Amino acid sequence: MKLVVKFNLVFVGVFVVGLVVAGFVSFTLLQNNARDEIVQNARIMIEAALSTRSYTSTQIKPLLDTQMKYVFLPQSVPAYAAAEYFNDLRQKYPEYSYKEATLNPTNPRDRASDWEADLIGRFRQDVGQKEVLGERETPTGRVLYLARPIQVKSESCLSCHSTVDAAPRTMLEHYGNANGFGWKLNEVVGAQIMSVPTAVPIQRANDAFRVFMLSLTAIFAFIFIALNLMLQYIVIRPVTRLSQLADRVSLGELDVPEFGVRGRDEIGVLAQSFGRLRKSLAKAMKMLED
Amino acid sequence: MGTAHLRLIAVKHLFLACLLLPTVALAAETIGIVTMQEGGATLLRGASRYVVAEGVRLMPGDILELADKAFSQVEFTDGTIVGLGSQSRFLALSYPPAGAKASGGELFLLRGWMKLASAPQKGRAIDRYGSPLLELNPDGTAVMQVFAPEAAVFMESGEGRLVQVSGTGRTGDPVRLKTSQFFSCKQDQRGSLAARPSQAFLGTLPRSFMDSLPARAAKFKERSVAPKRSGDFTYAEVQDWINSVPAVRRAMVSHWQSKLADPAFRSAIAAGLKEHPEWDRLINPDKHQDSAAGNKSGQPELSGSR
Repeated sequence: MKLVVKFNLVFVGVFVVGLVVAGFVSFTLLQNNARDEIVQNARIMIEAALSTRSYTSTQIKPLLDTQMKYVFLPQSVPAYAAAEYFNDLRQKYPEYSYKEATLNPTNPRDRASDWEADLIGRFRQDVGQKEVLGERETPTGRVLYLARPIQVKSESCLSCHSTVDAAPRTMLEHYGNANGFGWKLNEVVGAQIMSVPTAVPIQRANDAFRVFMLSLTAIFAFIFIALNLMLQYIVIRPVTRLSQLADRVSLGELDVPEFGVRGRDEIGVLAQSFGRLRKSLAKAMKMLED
Repeated sequence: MGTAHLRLIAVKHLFLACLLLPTVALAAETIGIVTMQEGGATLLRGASRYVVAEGVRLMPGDILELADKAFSQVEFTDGTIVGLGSQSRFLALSYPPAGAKASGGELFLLRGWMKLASAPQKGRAIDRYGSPLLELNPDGTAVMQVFAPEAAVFMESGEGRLVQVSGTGRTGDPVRLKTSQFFSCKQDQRGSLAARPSQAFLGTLPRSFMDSLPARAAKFKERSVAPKRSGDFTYAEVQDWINSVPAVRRAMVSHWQSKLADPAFRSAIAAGLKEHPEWDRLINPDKHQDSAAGNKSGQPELSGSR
């Protein structure tokens, strides 16, 4: 087996083992990082939705109070503002979805589904619980969700949600008087739920993994080619020439040209040694002839 | 009664008016300031027309006429704020003099939209908001819409007492208007009270009326803007005022009698005396002198009263 074959077999073996180990480590790391990043983004988005709610409640609603005596303006409702903010955001990040699921909402679109109601139930049982992170199966695939409780922390919420009599008439005209009343201060009435299909972090991790592995393979390929070229020019070619010279000398052809010595590396030293050997052999042969 | 005699009387009136007008103008009390002006509006003061701008002071008897899509806000010295919408015709009918203990001021909306925020009860000068179809005594904020033969009032906050005014100037039974209640009526028909304003009302309500009227008078306290004169007006342009309800008709006689020097105005007034009999004693003074001599009371006959 030729030297180059042996060398390449070892090189490819090391490359494959290295690639497998690097692939496993990087795949796990990238999957976890993608998931963490998505959860972190979801947290930021929920915080932004909370800020939008607070801004609407403290700054926008008072400005619209007079107008609300004429027509109902959903823009004055914190939940509506948060939903609208998120709808805009979804233009750029369509994979995220947001809902302010409520057990007894004024707007029917906010009514909690069964699994959301279970989640709200958990928050109601454990009021200290600030966040729930989980995954669930849906008809469209597995979904990662992040949920936070919606708690009635301000008296201003009760102006629309305590009793029918206290609610703005324009709101009653718009939504009727059947839903969204009876809320109490500090009660957990719903949950902010941010959902992302798990396919998203997996896809993101896979994309990063593919780029990483392709880069790693490209680097290995480059090194493979470079090392083979170096092996060819630095080792195999000089050794082959030296071997041919040695063959000719061994057949009695003592006047073969000198092997050109380049450099002081091991090949050069070998060539010098071979040159001395050839000279010694020539002298010995001459002495025998004499 | 010869034409020469009539002309002489008219010239006398005009001369007197010219003599008295600057004095009156100087002495007349500022009752309010135009603190917001969007779009075109004109001010009828005395026998002249002026262009309204922010900072213009209003005096008793001033009339504001707004162009299409215009908005004006007037803040009165007692703290009352009034917003006027597109195509409104508004008159500061009466205002108690400074220092008067009693209120009794009246603003009149001949046509258009008016949002009013009444002043605190203590020191309130304006307590009545009239129109050809209804009168309102509010304690709070209300929006009045008058486009004859229909009128409506929405009580945005507070309470108000409302009476319908018939074509003959008589008033109907008072209606108590609470917050969010809406009263609408048609001329000479009994009006109706509703818990919420009608969609027609909300659909045509000027957008700016949905907001609170912001107090801006302090901004103009040191800045008085003189209205720019923009010419005279014709009878046709003001006949709605001249033929309005009796109280307004009487006010118009005192404001515009100097206009009788204008033959076209005089002949138009004379031709429509049936609609505005208050002008009769000026158009036919001899008739009233005779009547006074016979009557010895010396009181002019004024038909119709509020």
